[in-house]
Amino acid sequence: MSVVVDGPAIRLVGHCPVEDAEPLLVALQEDAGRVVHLGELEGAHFAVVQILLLCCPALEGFPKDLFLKNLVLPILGASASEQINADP
Amino acid sequence: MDELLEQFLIEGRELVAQAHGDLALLARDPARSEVLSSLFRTVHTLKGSVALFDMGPAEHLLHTAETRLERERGGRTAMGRDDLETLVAVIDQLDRWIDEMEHGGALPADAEARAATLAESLQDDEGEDGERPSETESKTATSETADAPDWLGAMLADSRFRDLDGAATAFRYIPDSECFFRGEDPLALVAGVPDLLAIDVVRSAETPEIADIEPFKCVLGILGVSKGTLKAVQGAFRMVPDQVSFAQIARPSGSALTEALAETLASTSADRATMLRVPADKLDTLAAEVRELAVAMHGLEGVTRQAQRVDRALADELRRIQSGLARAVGTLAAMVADVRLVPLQPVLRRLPRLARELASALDKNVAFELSGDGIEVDKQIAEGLFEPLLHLVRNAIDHGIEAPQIRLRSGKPAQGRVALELARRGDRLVATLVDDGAGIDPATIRKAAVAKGIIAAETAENLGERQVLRLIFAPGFSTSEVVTDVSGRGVGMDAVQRAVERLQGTIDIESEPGQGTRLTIQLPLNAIVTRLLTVSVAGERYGLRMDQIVETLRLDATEIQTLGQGNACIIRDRTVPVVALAALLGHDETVSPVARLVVTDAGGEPMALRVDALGDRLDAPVRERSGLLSALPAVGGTTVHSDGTVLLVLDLPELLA
Amino acid sequence: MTDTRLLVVDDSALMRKLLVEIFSGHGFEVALARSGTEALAMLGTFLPDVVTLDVHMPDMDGLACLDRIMVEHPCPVVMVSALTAEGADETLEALSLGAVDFIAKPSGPISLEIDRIAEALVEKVRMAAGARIPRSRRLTERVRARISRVADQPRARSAGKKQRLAGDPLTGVAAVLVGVSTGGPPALDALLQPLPADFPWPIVIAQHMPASFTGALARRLDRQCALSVREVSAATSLEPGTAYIGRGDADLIMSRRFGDVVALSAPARADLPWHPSADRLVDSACEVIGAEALVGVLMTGMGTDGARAMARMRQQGGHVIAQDAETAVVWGMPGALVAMDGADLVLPLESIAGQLCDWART
Repeated sequence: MSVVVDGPAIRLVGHCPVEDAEPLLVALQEDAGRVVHLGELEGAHFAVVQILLLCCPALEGFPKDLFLKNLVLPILGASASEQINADP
Repeated sequence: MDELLEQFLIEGRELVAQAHGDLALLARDPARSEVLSSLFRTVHTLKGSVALFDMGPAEHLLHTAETRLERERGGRTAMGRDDLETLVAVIDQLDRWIDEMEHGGALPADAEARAATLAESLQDDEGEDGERPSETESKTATSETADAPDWLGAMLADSRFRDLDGAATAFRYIPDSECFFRGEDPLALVAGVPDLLAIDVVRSAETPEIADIEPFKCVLGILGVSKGTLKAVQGAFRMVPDQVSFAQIARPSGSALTEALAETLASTSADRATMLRVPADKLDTLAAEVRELAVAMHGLEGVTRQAQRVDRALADELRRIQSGLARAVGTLAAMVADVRLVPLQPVLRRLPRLARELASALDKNVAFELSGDGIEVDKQIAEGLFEPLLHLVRNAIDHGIEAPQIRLRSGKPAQGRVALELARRGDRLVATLVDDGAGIDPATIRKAAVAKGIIAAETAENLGERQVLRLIFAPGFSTSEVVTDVSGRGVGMDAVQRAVERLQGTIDIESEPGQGTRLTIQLPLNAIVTRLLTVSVAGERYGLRMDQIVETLRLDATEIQTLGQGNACIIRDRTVPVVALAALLGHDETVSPVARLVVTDAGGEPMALRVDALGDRLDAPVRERSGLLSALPAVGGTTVHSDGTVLLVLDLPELLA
Repeated sequence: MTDTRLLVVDDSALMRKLLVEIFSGHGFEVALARSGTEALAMLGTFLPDVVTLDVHMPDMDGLACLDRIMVEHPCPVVMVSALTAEGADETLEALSLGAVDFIAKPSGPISLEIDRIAEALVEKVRMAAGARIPRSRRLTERVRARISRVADQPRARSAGKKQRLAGDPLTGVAAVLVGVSTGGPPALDALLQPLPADFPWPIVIAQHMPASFTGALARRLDRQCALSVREVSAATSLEPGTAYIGRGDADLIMSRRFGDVVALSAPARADLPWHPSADRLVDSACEVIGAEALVGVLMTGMGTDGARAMARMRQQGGHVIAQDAETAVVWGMPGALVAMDGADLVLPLESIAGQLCDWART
């Protein structure tokens, strides 16, 4: 399972295929305050990114994948873009 | 598959005739429901048949017609004279397309546009719920040409897209809400856009509350800007053209303007200013007429020889004129051959798409490269090349390239490579298909060939590796499931070889187990076609070269008289000896009340050959006789008939010598 | 091994030729009939092991022809049908008249498609040749069914009483999961018809089928059953007295929405061969609900889908019924389950509903 729910944290690990959209949604529906950690993320299906875009959870960390980090992360909400600006 | 196409040509035309008959009845009495039902069924069957071939536009069009007729059957709309006329036009169009399939094996380039126009007139008076299969095409077409669509201004005003250095092309991708279920990943497609500068999302439907989110329904669209050219960006969305709009971003800067201009000029003016569109069939007629001219020229030779005996001066004068004419005819023939040259590009256009579809259907990661498709070859070669190449590409992807995990395990990159390179070498076209897949193990082929009984075990042992590889072209070898599984190659390789031979080409294979396979096809750039007349003799068909035939005629059998030891007849006041071709070929003669004669020139004298029936004229490449056939003096070569049978081509001067 | 005798019935010469090309050389002896009438005339002499029958034919349509084949010379019939919504109703009707299976009419550019579809067609028809003609479709019952489609079926209670097999009622069950494939539609008919409208557990069904067919199947069953039967695509809360059929060409999974158990369609996972996948349905249900609150029923079908997951579910405390070999058109999936020792009970089709009622004590 590439969606790991760990108390108040959700970690996205490796490549998240389309079916990961469902557990991610359930985890965020259960507790909208959960923080999604992207540091171990290597790739994500648009369905998974769409859940992040629609639920707007707090995000932490930077995906390993450059496309996700440089182009997708900036659209995942203001907090994330601020973080990206701080990224050296 | 040729047989199947042939069957389709027959059945398709029958159905067209049936539909026309029904339409004529309906024109008299539009209310006849049983005729309407019959027409509906005919159109339905026709649609089913068309679906078996690469005739997408025809299928769409028939689907629209079927939908229209179904409404009619349900009594929901009234069918007026206009509707009937449109339906007649639809069936006519289909008839023409069936002809095109017969001649070129493919629909003409304008098929989509024609289908769209006809489909539109069929739907004109329908409600909004009418299906519009043509919509995707027209939408793509406009989105490509629109200078500045509505969405572009708003998009560029957004801070995310403002002041991006080098921004050249914008896209707006609104994925279909069901796209995840079709296995699409919009983000992966966007990640494939070259030189991407920035993206943003756009909500394409009402944004759901968190409680109502459907995780597998796509409700967001993606906007983006790239430094790449329009063409390059469009390329990334080839799989989903109907879901994306594009726009070029206007740029005042000189260099970009020049670039844009250059691109526009390159893509339009070059082919618009100097090209003249000529229907292919006119060109074929022209080529045929030139050949007839050459035949007539040939007749002149005989007259010159006769004149020689009567008046030397006249004969010299005639010879001078004749050689001038011959030169002119030769030049003309060369020019016609040149005009018949077409670029391979349009024919091979579908290959990359089919390769991609196939790779994704088989869950393989394959980069397909196509180069050299700008080369021009004879129309016939271009048309005949697609099927065998598709077969080979298919085999390479299906059986050659391994699954990504296996590739990684054997130290190869996960992505396999299949490259098709077309090149001109002298007067030959060389198509090379290289893959870096599993390759073919000669030992496996050897074993399978022996097991299949294609060669004896001891013969197999003595064959070199190259010869062993060639066994996959042996008839009956590659159709075996065992071989497909074991050797990892081979669906219909004998069919591929036959197709290549029909074009007078050769095919060669090299393979390195574990490293990949290289297939090389060599073909003439110009089809060396010979005009043939088929005749039947004693139940067999033969081909006769048209340039060896002076004329053909039918006579009442009583007009053939016994003259000395042979037979003769009078043609235009000349006594012409008549010989039964059957007797020359060692068959029994058959007797019929009508004599069918082929007149040829035998050493300056006419000679009539009696045959049982005169068949079609056809243009076919004649293969030099080889192997067993070279022992038969009268056989000038062989040609492969479109039905796959081999036709012996007789050499009349040799036969009569 | 002798060749399988196949009678191809199709009015299109093109389609006949294509089917001959596909089947000859794969251990079939093929005979051709151009119409229903011709087919009926040939049944007595050619004695086919299996028939492929075009749904649409001009003089006698496929359904009428099928009806007479089943009466005059019962043998396995595979319908050849277009995968369209319009084709779905006719095809389902054919299955209820006794056709074993259906195959999609080949379409698409031949050179690319043929090898891909050929294998599946050959496999399906070969399987059908060995299939049992569903017993419940034999003459008398079928005639009765034809006389009155909504005629009273034997109620589950009486059938259940006679064949009471396993004892105590179960408590705390949240859902019944059904996996079914070849021969499924009539089997679902037999499973769901006897269940009363107030059956206490929701029934979630993974029936392997194309997307255009599952809607028609749900509507058809809904008309014929006391239960309410719906096709599921978007997340749907599960209610008692309702059967949910997963949309075709996608998988069906269970999940939660704010504590509620829901069923929803998910994009078909490419590593699974059949969709909607019974294995995936059962696995997701075990995770969301827990095996001990589930009843599994694995019914007729080719392949092994559902067997692995249901066997595991039983180990974890779930209750599992496998349809028996005598009543299954193809005893593939239930057979695999039985081989894994994954079933509590192996029951004939007509007893499954009764057993469920006994367990539910309704």
